[in-house]
Amino acid sequence: MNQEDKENQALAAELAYRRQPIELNPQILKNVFKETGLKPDWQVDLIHFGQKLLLPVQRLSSFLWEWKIGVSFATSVLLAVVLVFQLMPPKPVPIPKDFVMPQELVVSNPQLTAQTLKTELAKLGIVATVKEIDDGWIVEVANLSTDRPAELSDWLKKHQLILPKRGGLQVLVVLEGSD
Amino acid sequence: MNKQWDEQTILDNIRAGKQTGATYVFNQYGKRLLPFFERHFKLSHEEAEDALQETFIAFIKSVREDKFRREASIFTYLSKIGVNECLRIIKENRKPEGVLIDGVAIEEVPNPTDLIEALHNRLCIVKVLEEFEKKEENAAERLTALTFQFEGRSIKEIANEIGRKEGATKTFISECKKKIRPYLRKCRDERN
Repeated sequence: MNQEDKENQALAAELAYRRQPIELNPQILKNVFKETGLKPDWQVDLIHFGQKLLLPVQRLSSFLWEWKIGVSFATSVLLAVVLVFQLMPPKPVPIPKDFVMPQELVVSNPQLTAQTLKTELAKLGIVATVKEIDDGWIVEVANLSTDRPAELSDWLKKHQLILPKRGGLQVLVVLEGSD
Repeated sequence: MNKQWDEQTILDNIRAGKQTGATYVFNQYGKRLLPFFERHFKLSHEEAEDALQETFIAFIKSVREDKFRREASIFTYLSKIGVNECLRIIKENRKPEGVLIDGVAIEEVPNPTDLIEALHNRLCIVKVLEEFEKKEENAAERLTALTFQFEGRSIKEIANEIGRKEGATKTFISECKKKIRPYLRKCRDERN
């Protein structure tokens, strides 16, 4: 059978069918839809419409979710930084080279003692200044150099003071029982 | 296939999970597939219905899973699936003997390629005849004349039916065959 005959046969079959069209069992199509999950067009359109309506809500929800993650992360970082600063020992403040550690004298009359110290130092040729502070008096000597070191040494011993390694002398004269 | 249901629209509708595109294909081609299955594979009516159902399930699943890439027309694809489903049923029911190819009985399991070709022609004719009816003058009368001739009626009978003289009817039928030939050739070209 050549191609033309085959085509004629198909044509004859179609023309015969047209004279007596058949009806298909509607259950077949129902089974097909059940098996493949195809739904009536209106149902699918309704679902799509619902999804379109829900889209902004989904986007907002997604945004909030991402935003929440972002905030949580930032909070965690901040908390970590605060904790690190809290747990780290404070860095010691560097002491200036010309800093003089004040020596303390506890006496019954701080003003008088401070004035006495100033006077005695003046006798050794050392200039001292006296200033009143909250809880006593302070005697400050910028330069302790003298041509009578032995007498200065005796004076320090007498008041139980120590010769500073460098710089001047600071004596904090406070009242007995002031703590 | 009318403008409302071209192949792309059908496929889009099925991919969207809707029923109307599949219903159109089922009504258009299912009605041709069922008698073809019965005649060419000697299937019982129930077996042919089963084959038809499985053919459409496989077709829709293929479309929805994007396995159908439009390298062939819908009816070519349906033909392949349909033939395979029929052969499966024959194999399961163990009755390969007596299957027909283009109406000729053979004793062995038929060559699927021949059956696919025959089914392709059968379904393609549906499409090209629609085109013929749209484009050609007196298309309905021409097809009626051809129908009578395929039914084996005499020229005299046909002449009586279509209201022409015998000589004119002969000429008319010959002209109809010439007119329809290019449309039939489209199916061959499409398959090749």
